[in-house]
Amino acid sequence: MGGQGTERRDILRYIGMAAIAGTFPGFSKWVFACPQGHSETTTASQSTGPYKPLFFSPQHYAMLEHIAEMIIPEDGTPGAKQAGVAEFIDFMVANRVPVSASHDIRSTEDAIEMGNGAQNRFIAGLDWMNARCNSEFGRSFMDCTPDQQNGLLEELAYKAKFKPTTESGRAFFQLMREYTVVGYYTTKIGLESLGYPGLRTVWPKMPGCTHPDDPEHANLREPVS
Amino acid sequence: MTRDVLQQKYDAIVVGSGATGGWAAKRLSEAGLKVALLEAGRSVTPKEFTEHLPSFKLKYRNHSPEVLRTRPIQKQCYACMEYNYEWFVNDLENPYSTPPDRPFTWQRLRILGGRSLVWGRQSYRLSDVDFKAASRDGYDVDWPFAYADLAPFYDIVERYVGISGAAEKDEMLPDGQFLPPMKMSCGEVRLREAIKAKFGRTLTIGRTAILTQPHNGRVPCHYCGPCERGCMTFSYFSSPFTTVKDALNTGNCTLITDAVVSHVDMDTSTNKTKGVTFINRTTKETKQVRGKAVILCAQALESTRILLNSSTPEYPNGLANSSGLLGHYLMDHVVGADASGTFVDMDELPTANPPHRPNGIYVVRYRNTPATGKHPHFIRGYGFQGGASPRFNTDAPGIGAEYKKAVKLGTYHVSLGAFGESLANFDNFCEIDPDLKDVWGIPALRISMAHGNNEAALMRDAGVTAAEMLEAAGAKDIHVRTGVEMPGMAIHEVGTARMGNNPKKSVLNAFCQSHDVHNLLVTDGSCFVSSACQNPTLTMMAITVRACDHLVERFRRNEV
Repeated sequence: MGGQGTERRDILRYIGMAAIAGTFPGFSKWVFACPQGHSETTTASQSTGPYKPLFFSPQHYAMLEHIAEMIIPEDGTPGAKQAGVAEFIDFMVANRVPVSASHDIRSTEDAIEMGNGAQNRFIAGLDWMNARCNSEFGRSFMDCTPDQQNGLLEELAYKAKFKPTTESGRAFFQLMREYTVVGYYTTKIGLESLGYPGLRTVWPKMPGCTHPDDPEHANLREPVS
Repeated sequence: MTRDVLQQKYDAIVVGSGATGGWAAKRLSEAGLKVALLEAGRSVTPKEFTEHLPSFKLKYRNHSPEVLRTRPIQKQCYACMEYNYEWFVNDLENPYSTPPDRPFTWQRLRILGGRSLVWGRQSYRLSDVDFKAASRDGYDVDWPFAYADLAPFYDIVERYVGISGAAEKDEMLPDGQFLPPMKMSCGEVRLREAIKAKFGRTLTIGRTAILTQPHNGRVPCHYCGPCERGCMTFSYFSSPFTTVKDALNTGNCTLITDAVVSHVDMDTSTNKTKGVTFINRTTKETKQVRGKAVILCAQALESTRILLNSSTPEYPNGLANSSGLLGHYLMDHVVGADASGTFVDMDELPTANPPHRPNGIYVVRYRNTPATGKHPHFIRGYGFQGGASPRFNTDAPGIGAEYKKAVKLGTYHVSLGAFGESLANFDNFCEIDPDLKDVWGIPALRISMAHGNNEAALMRDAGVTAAEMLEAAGAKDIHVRTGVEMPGMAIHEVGTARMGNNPKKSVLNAFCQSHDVHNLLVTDGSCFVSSACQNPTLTMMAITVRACDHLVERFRRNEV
């Protein structure tokens, strides 16, 4: 940053505005492309028996699955549980793969740090949830009522409901949500919840602006070629 | 490979099979010359294209840790991913160094077609404002030729490659031989109109090397989206399925893959090159191939490395380096300024379905132009690439059904990202690192480059004016960046063997021919005198065709 005079003021004015919208790598347009001539057998293997967690204890894994479903519930389209989000999280955390929905991880140092750090952050976060429930409600998270669970999650998710002393919980929630969102919207189920059509053949043309007759585009002319 | 392949003496040896090497092989072999085309990597087939494969079919859903492990540098390019990372060089096998305070990211592919497999495809002509920039602002030197000299070769390249785009009659960005343009989104139309009305600036649909109608035996784009993972219909331009194919079809061109060229061989008695030495990528055997002329098209830094590694007693500081300038004046477009925002009133919903237009929009340079006059804070200028479309809003706050709904509703996103001119500067350079070799034992580069004050000033101005333009179009939630990213991030590196008419002040003449060694040419981005701010590949290809036609003439006159 640098500059002087009005130029610098302009920059500060704009930077004060809201944050950039991001996408995670793999949730860009290409995720939705349709296989054509690719065999279905290239699919990552689909397990038949119940999933055995690679990293999390059965207790933590159950919590993980439950919280993921609270973040992305079944509501006309399937939720996180049906999409196998907990399996995705377990697999990625076990393999120390960094996952982020909100920004593309470019720096290798960051990626390694994130991948390694995720194991501790998940365990500490799940334990924090239990400790919080114990001090607030006298029992662990999974034994709380749905209202209590939902109340706690909302305190971590919505700015308006933030409370002091829940900073670590909020940080965990962000992490959990990133993994959940990536884990859900990179599955076929997640994509179908957005209207993904599955296998399709070619698309013949690009439609462009969909309402050229709108008065807003009174002056719209096709660029001459 | 058979012994015959290497015992033959070729007219021309082309090193590198990407955008420029493909053109050199095509042009020379179609003129009847016997050509050997050397590629450091393996061949490529459409069977390995994955543009239609959803990420849920990948083991790590496009988050593979193997990419990070073996391509920690290549991963800095958006196009290097679980789908295609094997096309990119393994960074563990292909090291280079930089001073600690001058980082540089070097994106490389070693495979038939090179970076043309994954390139951004944006194709813009330079103008005389670029070729004669020094005459206008006094910085550095002009190119040794004018726009009119190159224009016929732009025509040739565009007619063959197929560039879709719209003519705008803007003196900063000459129009070309266009296929029909792709259509703009609603938000892009709004932005185009707003900035024309308020600032008199031109926003046009991206000029891209993607077919919008059948062309030269290839079919048009089917709008699946991710070109960087290959294209089964060859609708975007990549050399293996166009220029290289044509060259091989002449019967005059011999392709030698897995040939990692270490240096150019000189015949000191005649002061001519007699060929190149390469190392087989897999067996690591050392081999030679002989020819009457050598054309380096390995990309700027790689071609320069080959020359620096080709020292002889006559040329102790690198071949073709009597000027001492080889490796210097390294440029790469400065990036790091952008603005993004939302058109909150646009209710078009995001879609998970194709079509996905693999192309953006382009805002033509408006600083330091003949029309806008001299800017008080910096010389040269920048252009923007960007786009406007609805996208799923995974950043929506909250949890539960409310969150799922918000994701689906999406936001109408609009953004502009700047590419600024990188000034030619002697102190930005590459040299051989005396302590570092690649796995084939070839001395590696030490790259030392940093953007300067002018580049920083360009990015500050670009960020602010981008935001002004979005604001003029009614965008909300505008976010701006005005930084300078590390050099190499634009993947537009050029300039390390500059052209010029004075042999003391340049490495190559106006036809990419070495001043020192007359049967040695370098026609990739190395030859650039300035970087301009337009994506360079189209210009590299046009320069290659011009240089090759000149070489063919010299063959006809028996001068080689």
